[in-house]
Amino acid sequence: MLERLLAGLSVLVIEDEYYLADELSNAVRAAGGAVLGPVPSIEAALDLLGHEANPDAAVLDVNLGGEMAYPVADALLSRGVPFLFTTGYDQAALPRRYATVPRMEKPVETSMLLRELRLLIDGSAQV
Amino acid sequence: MARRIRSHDWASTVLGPVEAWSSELRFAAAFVLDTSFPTALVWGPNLVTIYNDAFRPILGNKPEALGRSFAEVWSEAWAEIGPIAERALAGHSTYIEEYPLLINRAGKAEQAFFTFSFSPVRAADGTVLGIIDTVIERTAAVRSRSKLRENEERFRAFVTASSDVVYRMSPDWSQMRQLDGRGFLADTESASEGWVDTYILPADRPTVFAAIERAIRGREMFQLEHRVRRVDGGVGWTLSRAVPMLTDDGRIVEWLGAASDISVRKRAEAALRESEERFAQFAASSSDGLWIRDAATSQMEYVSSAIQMIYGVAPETLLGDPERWAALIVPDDRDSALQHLEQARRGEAVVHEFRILRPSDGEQRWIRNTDFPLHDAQGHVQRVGGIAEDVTETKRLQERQGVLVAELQHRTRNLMAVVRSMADKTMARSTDISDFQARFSDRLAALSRVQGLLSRVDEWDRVTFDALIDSELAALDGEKDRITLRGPKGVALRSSTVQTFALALHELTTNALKYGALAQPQARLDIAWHLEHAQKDGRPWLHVDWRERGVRMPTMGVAPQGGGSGRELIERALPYQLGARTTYIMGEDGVHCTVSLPVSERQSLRERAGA
Repeated sequence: MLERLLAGLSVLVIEDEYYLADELSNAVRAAGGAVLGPVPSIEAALDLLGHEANPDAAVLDVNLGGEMAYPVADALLSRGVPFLFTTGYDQAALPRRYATVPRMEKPVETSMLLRELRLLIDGSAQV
Repeated sequence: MARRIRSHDWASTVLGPVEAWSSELRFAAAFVLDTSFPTALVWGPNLVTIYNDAFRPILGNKPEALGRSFAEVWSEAWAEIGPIAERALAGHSTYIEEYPLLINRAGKAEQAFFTFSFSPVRAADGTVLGIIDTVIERTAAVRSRSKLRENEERFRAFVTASSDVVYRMSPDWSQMRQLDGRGFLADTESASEGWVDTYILPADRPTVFAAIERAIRGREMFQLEHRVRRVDGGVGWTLSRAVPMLTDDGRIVEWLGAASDISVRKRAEAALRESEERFAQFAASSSDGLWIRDAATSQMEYVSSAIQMIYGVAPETLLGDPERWAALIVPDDRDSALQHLEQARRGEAVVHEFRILRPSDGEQRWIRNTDFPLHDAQGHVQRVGGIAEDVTETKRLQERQGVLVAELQHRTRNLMAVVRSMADKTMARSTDISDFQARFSDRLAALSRVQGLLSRVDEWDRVTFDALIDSELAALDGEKDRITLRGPKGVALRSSTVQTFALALHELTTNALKYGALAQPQARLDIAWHLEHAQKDGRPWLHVDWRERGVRMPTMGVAPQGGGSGRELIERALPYQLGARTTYIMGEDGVHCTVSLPVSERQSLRERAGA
């Protein structure tokens, strides 16, 4: 059912927890998508965004190795890359400028995340 | 006087010259002159007056009476004196005490009192020739007695009108003549020496006696508040006053006293004192600052000592003008603080918070003020009371707690995600459900252990590598003597790396226990580690060398047993998540694994501090 959901699309996975990054990457690939990364840190994410072509979407863990991933979120926003947050924090804990960014609370249901990614990509394409 | 009598021109009187006086007249005149008792001789039908020196004061400033008619001398009172003189001339003597007469001897009418006797002077044949008038003036005595009586009457009237205890004391207070106790004190109806025992408590006697002595010495009012034994046997308080009744010459005749029952007032005073004392102790011991303002003016009337700590100023500097307080508040919060005070002045209890700049150390502090109206008996807001609490630490803790709660939430949810992912992976590698159950609960136990380690350290502390390895190996029993550990204690790990690192160590241990060095009695496990101080990226690195020796390895070509999960963690997860450099080799006599990872800089500080 999900096999072709992300066919031909690239997704940047930013998640510091190896298990979760691995799980997420596998899920993207299983849905026909290409994984950019995964990367575990702010530096690695910014580095990737600085050098490679824009991904179609991104999944961003709010907390990377104890640091808030806002620099990455801001870079994604400024480059128009649609993304969603995965987070263990409550909504209130995030700055207001990310109010429009969807967020999924951990533990994330993988199939829901894939559908959400697809909606994001479709939404940004229409604009 | 005798000389004056001799030199008087008697010839021109009805008596005729002295040489011609009858022997009776001579005898009587000599008697009058010789006595020192005030005496007058009134002679013959014309009542010619002869008197002695002692009699002079009785005449006062009257014109010279010598030789004149006694009726003329006392003309103003002759209506009273005349009949008595008549009686004497008729042979009857008269004795009257304190006889009132309205006389004129100083140019004006005057009420005088005399005790006197009129006695006839007879000739040898018994005929009455004259009168001897002996007299004592009693005017002063009668007046002072009547004044005293008047006073007493007034006093009795006053006593009847008053609800106070009234009493009379002897001049030296040795005796109580009377006391009307009015139900407050026992009555003393007849003179008694025992009043001190009856009424005065032993402890108070010196004070009472001293006050009595002062009053007697100064002939002034006795006044004292002292305790008394009440009629019901209890102890009460009285305000006792007594005034001395004095004679004209200043002798004390008696003391008249009134004593009011002030027990209720005294009890109230004592209760008030106690309450004030209690409040003072309470305020002094409170770590919160207590204050009281006048509601009408907002002037500070009272500030407790804790204000010193909270506001960093001497408490008395806040007394008076409310501006002195407001000036300490940071400008942004000042209006709100003053508005809240205003609300309390209008009768509302409010709790508000504001920041001050503490002059003692220049620090900004958060104050929580509770302001409340204090009402008078009519219900008007008379004062505003307040409690000031320094909540700076509480605020900090609250903030920190908020951060911690968010952090906990983050960690918990992350952990749930890891557990789920771990379950998925374990499931993928398990042969059946019981295999899954064994593997999964084993990994869950490892995950729990590391959570335990993490929860015991705070933000300033770190989990150390030796603690991590100890916790992992603690689950082992007999195999421990085949393990050697070599490396420094206290190498602190970055908290974000601990969980994954622990899981990797757990997989290594599990594999060793199932297939490797800890599964075979002849095999050994050496774990060695050392710290490499700051490299080019500024972080110290920890190098761990895990070497199993003497393990009989399975035949080459057979798929390695177990190992998959551990290997994935070491070769992929550690580099990914921890930035580690790792090697994992299945050597001829066992697994040889190396892990190098950046660790916390903190421990180098700690080691320096320790060294």
